[in-house]
Amino acid sequence: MKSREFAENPIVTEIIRNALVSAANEMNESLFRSAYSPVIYEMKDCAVAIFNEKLQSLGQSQGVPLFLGNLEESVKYATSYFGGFDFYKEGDIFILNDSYITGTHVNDITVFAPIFYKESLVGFSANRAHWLDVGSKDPGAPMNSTEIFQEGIRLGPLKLADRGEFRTDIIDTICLNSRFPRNARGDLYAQIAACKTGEKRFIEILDRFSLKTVRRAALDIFKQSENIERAVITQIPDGVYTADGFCDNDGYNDKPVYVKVTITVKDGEIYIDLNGSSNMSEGNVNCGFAQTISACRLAYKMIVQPHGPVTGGSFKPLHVTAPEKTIFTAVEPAACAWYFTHLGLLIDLIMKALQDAIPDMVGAAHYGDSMVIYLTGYKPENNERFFSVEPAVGGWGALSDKDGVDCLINTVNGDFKNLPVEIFENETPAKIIRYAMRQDSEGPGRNRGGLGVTREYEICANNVELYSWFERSKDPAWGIRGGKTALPPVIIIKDEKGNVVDELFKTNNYILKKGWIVQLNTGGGGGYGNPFDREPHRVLEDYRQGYISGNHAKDAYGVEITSSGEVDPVKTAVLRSNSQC
Amino acid sequence: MSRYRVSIDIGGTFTDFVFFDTLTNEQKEGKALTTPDNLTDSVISGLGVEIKDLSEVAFFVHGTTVGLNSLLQRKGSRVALITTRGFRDVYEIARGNRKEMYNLRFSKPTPLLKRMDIYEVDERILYDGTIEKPLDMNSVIKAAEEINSQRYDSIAICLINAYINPIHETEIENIIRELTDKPVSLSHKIAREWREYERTSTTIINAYIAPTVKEYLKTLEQRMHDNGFKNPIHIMQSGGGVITSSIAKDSPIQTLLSGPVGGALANKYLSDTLGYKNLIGVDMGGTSYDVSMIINGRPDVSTETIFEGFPILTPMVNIYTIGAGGGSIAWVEGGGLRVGPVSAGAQPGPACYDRGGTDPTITDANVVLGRIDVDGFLGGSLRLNRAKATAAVQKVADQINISVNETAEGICKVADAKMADAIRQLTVRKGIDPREFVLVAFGGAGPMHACLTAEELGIETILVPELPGVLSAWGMHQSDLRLDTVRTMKKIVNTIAPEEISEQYRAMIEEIEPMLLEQQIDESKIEYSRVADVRYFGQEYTVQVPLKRGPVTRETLNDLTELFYEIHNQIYGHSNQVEPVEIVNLRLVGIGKLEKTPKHKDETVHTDKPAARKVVKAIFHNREYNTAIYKRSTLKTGQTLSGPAIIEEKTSTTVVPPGYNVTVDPYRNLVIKKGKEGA
Repeated sequence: MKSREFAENPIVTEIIRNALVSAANEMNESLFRSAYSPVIYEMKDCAVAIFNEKLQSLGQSQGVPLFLGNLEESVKYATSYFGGFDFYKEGDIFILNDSYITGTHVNDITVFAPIFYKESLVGFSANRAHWLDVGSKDPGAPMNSTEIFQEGIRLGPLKLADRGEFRTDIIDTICLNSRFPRNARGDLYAQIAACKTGEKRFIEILDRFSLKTVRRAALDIFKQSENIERAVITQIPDGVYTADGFCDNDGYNDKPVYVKVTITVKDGEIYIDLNGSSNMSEGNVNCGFAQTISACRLAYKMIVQPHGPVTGGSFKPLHVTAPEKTIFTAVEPAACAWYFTHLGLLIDLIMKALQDAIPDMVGAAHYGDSMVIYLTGYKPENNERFFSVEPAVGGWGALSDKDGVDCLINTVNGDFKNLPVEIFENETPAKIIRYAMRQDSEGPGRNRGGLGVTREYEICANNVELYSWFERSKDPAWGIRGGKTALPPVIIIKDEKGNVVDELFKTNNYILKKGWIVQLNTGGGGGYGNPFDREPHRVLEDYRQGYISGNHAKDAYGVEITSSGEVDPVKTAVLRSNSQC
Repeated sequence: MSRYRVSIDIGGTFTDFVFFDTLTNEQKEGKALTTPDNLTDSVISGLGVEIKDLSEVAFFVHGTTVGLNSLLQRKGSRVALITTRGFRDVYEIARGNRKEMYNLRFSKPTPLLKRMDIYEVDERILYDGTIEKPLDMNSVIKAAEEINSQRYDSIAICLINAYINPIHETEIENIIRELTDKPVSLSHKIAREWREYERTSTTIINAYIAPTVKEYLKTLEQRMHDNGFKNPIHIMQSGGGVITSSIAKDSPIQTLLSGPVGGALANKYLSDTLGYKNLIGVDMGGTSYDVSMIINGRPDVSTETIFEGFPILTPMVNIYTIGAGGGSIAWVEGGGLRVGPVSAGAQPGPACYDRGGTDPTITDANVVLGRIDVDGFLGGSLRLNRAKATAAVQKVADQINISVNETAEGICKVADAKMADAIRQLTVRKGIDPREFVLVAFGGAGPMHACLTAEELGIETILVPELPGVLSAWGMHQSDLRLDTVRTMKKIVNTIAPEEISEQYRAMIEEIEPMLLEQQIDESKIEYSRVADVRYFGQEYTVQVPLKRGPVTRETLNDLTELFYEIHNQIYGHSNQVEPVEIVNLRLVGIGKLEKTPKHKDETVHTDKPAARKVVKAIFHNREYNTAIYKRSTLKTGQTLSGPAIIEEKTSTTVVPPGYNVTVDPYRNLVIKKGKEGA
């Protein structure tokens, strides 16, 4: 006897559910293990999924969180471009990267393949991975592009393999467009291999359970996901919640880029509307709508269902809208290289908007963006080109029950690991002289935000070029529920004598001389709750460990610490009663 | 006279013993309750049950969990770290990554020491080993005095780029040693590899557990010697060899996975004696499911592991833990059935233990199905309550609207499939096909689920070795002395002068050989094997490629490159003969061959049918079968039986589903294979 809500036997469904998740994980393993670029296997700047023939997700594996659910949009677009599903033949493989279809920047390459079973189309395996370079005007991705044509090769949906035959002319042409063709080719083959792994495992599952059973089980799996999410959403009170903030600029014009979010929770549905946000920017802080939906799904998932897998039944209660031709709905010729800067802000703002509705389920803002620098030039010993790309860690927002995490990578970068000093120095003519937690950079609160970081480089060659993208300096990580704002980021440049010559945020082709110092400082995370409510012994402990200074303990937390390193209870009581925090 | 060879594996509840009598060729298992407050008590008392005079013990090997427990329970020592100025926070920043990408509440592992326990000194070595800034003695003395006055138990030293030039670490050590006799852990001695965070983490763990392990080993040595034991104590190390206790005291991190490694060695022995090249070992206990592998006759060893969130750069036999044990709980989410990862643990345990547990576990499902006999569990020492098991499973059955028996079988099926999925992912990662493997099942619950897990994976042969409940202790008898060392040398293969590599290996042999000889091994018993970590230039991951024996020549390096292509192709499915190939690390393993305890081979073959203890009803494939229960101790070489059947022994239960046939091989292993359809 079966429950009326479900079509298939619950045991069979559970075995199939686990097998599909496992198949997606195997695709990921296959991609990580054979990719050439660290950006894929370390930063996990990739995503994989298996879909049914209706492009509903059967299995999806964790990659960069920002790619939640826009792979299917890419395949949908390709299908309509080619005139329908009948176009696909067994053994075909496709590629595309156009920002307005995929939603992201052209460095993100999507590869997908139709899956056939007993000669009929039963689904797709697809993945997306970030390529180091696709031929933009500057190496990597440009910091100041103003139209997509400066950002590298654009691939509409394009056939890479025709019924099992590789089109080597096409593959060669694509790789010709990269400054690092070896990586491009290696990563492309890794993506193709991952598609094959997904196809193979999916067919094994169909062989074992039959197509009919898998289809019925899939419907039950979707229903389960929807039930789980809807049960959590009932905890969010109905209402209209808003928040707004801004990015420093778009990389080209020094004007703020505004994000405004209005969240309506009503009858178990969540509507996110982005009306009031900036129009398409002249610089490259823009993204296609597919990516905007993904960012909202990421925030939704962090709140509603952080642990379960994504299925075709996920995100049903979530509805996202935005006016045309904004930073969230870019069209040609908008530049999209830094498609994630305003999305990181959007995710923080969604949490902010909901702070009073679900105070235990959201956190204060984090340091906000990837804080990337490139160092490039020629090695003095052999005149070979070097190219180093590093995002930097920073502080995370505090939560209702714990401090924010210190020195952690930002939301959209997932599992990215910082580069060890010892490896960096082997590959780059620069030396790291300090890598430290940045004192007093946290947003004070009853629970404090996490600390930012300081990373200091001494340049060991002449004419090293610096590119940087530092953000959230004007609207740094805010606190919630009475918590305070954290310190903003800044890059300080010193000459060989130690004199400060510049303070930078975003820069292109900035020439550094031998002996100069580049000091990166990233921001902290916002605080949660009134900092004067923080227990003095916790403030003291932060002081003892050197996370905060004595002055900061006094000014921000109202705690006086004596010269012998203890809390002065009398002065602390006075400070806390006199000041209105 | 010295006739016994003894191994001991200390676990959370029991301490397992395996005794070999070299006079009679007999082996015996023993168990004593573990005495957590003083672990040597259970060792000494358990030994005393079999052997009164320890001078009769020729060889004593021991898997210790002392280091592991002090790390798991965060009960290690107060450690001070000395590092290069500017890099105090390397340890706390870690690599900054967020493993759980959707989890807003993600945290880094709690550091083993506080920020104020880290002291900076002025010095700087560059990436190529040149000294940019000589060690400033005043800064060292200042730090050393502070450390001394703060009464730390243990000191770790890890400087930037010390892997390429350790001179400053050694200089600091000399100063510290003048001030204190506390253990000092140097990063270049513990893990001479690049990447400062990973090396720091490894060194700190070593320092953290050093005083506890040292104290324990001293006590054990003393008590063993008081009872007449005259030989060195051998300790299992995580890489699959043994070391004497004197080495273990300096480098306790090598003993971290001392216990479970024995299981992998037992599998290696089975592989050698039975001729199976590829084995998957599954050890299923109450709360976890541990998988290890023998690939091409060799244990699968990693040179880098993440443990409790911390990276460790010492060789360890890979043991992958999956959250499915006999105690894993079945529950309902969104209308769907789920099994695990939450476990009922030892307390309250499964509902059938009748200790207050009411959630249905995998063990309960087996009891409902009749696959575990309520009177025969753990040799009859724990009587199970079937009614409680049924009531627990019924709770879930009601929620998903199917019968209690169907639910119980469903719970087992979901668990079997999950284990198979997890094993498949591990093999995909290594580019191997599980169907080419033999499944070796051990631990209390491993042999219960082995057949159906193997079926999911397409594995044809299942092996249940003798003494599956104490297999780790048994495997320790099959080990050699082992010491590992490593040098980072990052160079494109065809630009390296062969002499450069010879020079590195000469230095490594000079480092290891005295330590091997110190362990009372004859020079003629020492063997070295050389491995290089190799990758395509530009890749991050490396592949371990063995170097051919003999002097290193251009030809050796060409062979290395060829072999790299081959292995790369096996693991990743492609290789490119045009791309430049780069060496990153050179590794040396020194082996001191020890005498082994061979397994006795039965020459007599019995063809009579084994006698069943009793026949019960058990459910398979939604149908009730008459199922015979056998005692393992009554089964003899050559005998065969067919499923459905249950084979009970003191520490484990084997379930043979319908359609499977069992043969007892000359080494008394149960070899289980699926028969032809309908057999």
